[in-house]
Amino acid sequence: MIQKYFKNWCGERLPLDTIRNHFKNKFVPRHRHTIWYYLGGLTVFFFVIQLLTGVLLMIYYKPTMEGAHQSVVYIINEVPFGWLIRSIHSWAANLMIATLLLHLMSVFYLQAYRPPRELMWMSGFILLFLILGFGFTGYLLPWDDIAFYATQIGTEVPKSIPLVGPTLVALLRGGEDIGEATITRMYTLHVFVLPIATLLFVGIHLFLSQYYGASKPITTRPKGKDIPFYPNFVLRDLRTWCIALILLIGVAILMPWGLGEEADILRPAPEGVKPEWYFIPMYQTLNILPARILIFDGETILNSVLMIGGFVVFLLPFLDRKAKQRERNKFILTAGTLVILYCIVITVSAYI
Amino acid sequence: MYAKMIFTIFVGTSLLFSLDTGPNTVVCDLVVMQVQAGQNNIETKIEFPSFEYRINLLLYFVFPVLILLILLILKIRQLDLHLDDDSRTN
Repeated sequence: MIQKYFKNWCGERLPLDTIRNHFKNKFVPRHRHTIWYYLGGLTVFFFVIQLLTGVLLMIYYKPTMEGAHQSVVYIINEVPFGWLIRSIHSWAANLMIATLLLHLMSVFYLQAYRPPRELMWMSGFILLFLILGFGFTGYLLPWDDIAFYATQIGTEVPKSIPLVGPTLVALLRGGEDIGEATITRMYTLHVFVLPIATLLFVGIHLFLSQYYGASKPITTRPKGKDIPFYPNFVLRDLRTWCIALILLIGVAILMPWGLGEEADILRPAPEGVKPEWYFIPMYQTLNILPARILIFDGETILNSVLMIGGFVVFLLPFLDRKAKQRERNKFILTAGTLVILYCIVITVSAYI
Repeated sequence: MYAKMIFTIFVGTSLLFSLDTGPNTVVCDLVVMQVQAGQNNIETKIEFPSFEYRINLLLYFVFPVLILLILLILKIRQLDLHLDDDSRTN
């Protein structure tokens, strides 16, 4: 009775029938690559977990040089289940980036960026940068040794960008060195600026994915009939999220995220300081590259290559003319595979 | 269907709680890392709960999700049987 009244009340005020009809008439293609369709939803799932656990951590975290490390120690030791919330936050961050990179790779290999889904690719690419921004800004917040030196190296990288480099570093650090202003800046970016921007782009991305639906791969043959989005695919998504949740809680409980010694500006850098795994390809390339190549600075060359490369990938739907005609572009696929292989090999080599 | 799911999860979790081997009976004793707090020289160590405690906790968290997962798989299989009748052709 109450349920019916509530349903009617909402139905009179919201376009529920339109939404219901949209989902009823939406289908997901079934083929041997259907499994890749779950990665986008999985990334959103981890993002929601990040928001929830992040809000809980914010209650106790203090973004100051004196308070940051001690407040994290307090969260781990004193706050009920604080160690678990922090552990879930840290593990989910890594899993979110992993699923996002896999999602990007699957879209690339299935050439799902071809028209009319150019805007989906572009919004997704912007989301990749925003999520990497979360990783970068969140890394310093515990204010431990490794995070401090890794951020010092990380914020040093844009220095070699012509004209704007030094200003960019000063903006990130809030001065010449990493200190109180850096924590405040990273914290503001991490809990306010990046979440708002990410929510905006997630909204755009989800709207476009609902509008266009899942893309059918060029060469793959369909395997049976399409899957109705609701309830069949939604339940499949829920199943994937349940598996992900079990895995996440499992690793968070059995391998709780640790904390290093409190950062000391006067202490020399400890050995083996490395950024997070998703920044390793850039960091290692910087280490391999000679300081000077001909008349140019090594770092400047790397920054320029990365910027041009990023721009090319961003505009990929417009550059891949074969994909527009539903043809496989062997050159782009080979080039992309080589870049991915390079990143994997160089990342693995950094940990061996 | 959803009412059935919630009911099963509720009963399942209640059963698990009734076993009374929960986290509250285990003392947290594992010191994982010892940290010297920089210049002030205040000793601050971070402590994670014991392995036994964490295994129990894992059960509490994972058990309801596992039941939900099994129910979802069953429901998906049931829906897939009717897929040929309901779904459109390519």
